[in-house]
Amino acid sequence: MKLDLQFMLDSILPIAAKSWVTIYISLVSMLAATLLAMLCGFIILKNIPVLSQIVKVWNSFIKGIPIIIQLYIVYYALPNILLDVCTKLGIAYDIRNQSAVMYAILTLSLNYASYMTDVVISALKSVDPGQIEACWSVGMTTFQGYIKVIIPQAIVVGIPNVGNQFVALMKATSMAYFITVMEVLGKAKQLSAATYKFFEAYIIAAIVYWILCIISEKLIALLEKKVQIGHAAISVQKTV
Amino acid sequence: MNILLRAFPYVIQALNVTVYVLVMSAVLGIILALLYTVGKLSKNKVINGICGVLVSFFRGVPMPALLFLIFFGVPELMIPLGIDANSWPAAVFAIISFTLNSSAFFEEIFRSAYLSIEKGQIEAAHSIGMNNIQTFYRVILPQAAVIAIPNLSNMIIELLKNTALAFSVGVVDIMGRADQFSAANYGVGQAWIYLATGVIYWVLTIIIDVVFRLVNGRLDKGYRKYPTNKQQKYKLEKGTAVVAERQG
Repeated sequence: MKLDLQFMLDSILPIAAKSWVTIYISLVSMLAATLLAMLCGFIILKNIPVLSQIVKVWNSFIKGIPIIIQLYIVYYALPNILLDVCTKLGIAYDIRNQSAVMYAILTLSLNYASYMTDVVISALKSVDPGQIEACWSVGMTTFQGYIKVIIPQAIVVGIPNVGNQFVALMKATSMAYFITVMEVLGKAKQLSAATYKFFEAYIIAAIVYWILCIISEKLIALLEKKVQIGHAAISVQKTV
Repeated sequence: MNILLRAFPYVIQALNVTVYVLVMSAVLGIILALLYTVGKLSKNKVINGICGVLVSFFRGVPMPALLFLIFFGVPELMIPLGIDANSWPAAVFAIISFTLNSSAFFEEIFRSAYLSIEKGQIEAAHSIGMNNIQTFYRVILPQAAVIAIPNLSNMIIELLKNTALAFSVGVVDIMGRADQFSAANYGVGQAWIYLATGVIYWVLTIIIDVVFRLVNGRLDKGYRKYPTNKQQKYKLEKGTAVVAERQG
């Protein structure tokens, strides 16, 4: 076995440069997933009839299917659906002009929204229900109680789980390669296809992903510490 | 819609391949994870460090990247050993990469389950004359298994979903079969075919979930002796209240 070190050195920069695509997809999807998860969590916690059952079945369905299949379904079905809708509404729609990144973001946000729903629910449930009653007793509305008392505590509980989901999401973005998004893995494939140096290119891609994961884990650990410091200060103030 | 119904019987013929890849990678992954766990718990710094780096690497590399890395890398690594790995079936590479990936996650599960058991129990077991093996089988394992099984079930479901990627290196499992079907249809109704495939995976995950719930229900039987439900707690509280009244 002989590795082409010169090729590896040359391909580090082009492959690593594509990590921006990975970061972009994961950040946008995470944001969308969190917002959607808050909505779903609210529906399930409030036990809204019909809607909560739909959300539960939908979440089970989403969690039961591999992401790659979801990507394919969205990638192949959505353009046709959009074309039908647009022709009915009389809007000009160009089916050949597709942005695969948008489909990747849409799929990943829908997918991780169902995982984040669990995170949101477990975080909100970890706060003692007596606290919202205490809020009402001092004259806060339910909204104020949630914003000022419940959610700040739930965030502290939720952040480690959110971090885990974010790292998983970041790794899942590599599947966007299958729907032609040119990110780290896609770039590695492109570079190696011309030279048949697959092993070298994929080593670089794997290391880039590893570094991305380590960095995001460290950042999340920092965030966790920061949030917990605030939490500790509050509890100290309370006891004083 | 018609194509969805036609896709089902065609795709499901490869169910045995998916199950085979899943079971092989899960079993090998658990064995490897046990080795990692021993390594990460050992006091030897070199072994500890090596296991730590391996686990961190295989956790950090996404499944498709690892799959391609193994698929193209293992044959190259095998050349100096005089083995022609290019003739191996693709499923072997898929199983190797799923094993490496899942073992890193299994390791975290096993280690956290082991660490969740109080060290005092091990000392107590030693104090009544149990050796290390007896302590592990009679004290640690029954408790750690109950803690590990729910996480293990989640991880095996993740593994099942990861096996869908094996089609990209040419394994004809459920997903590979769906790929063939859509190619044979010249790409007509691809979304429906993949939807049918998705439903098969959904059913499989539900089956795995139910099986593990049953296993867990059997395993945590011992824990039910403790007052966990409300009625028993109430009885206990009532009992202590009565005692307190009498004493008062």
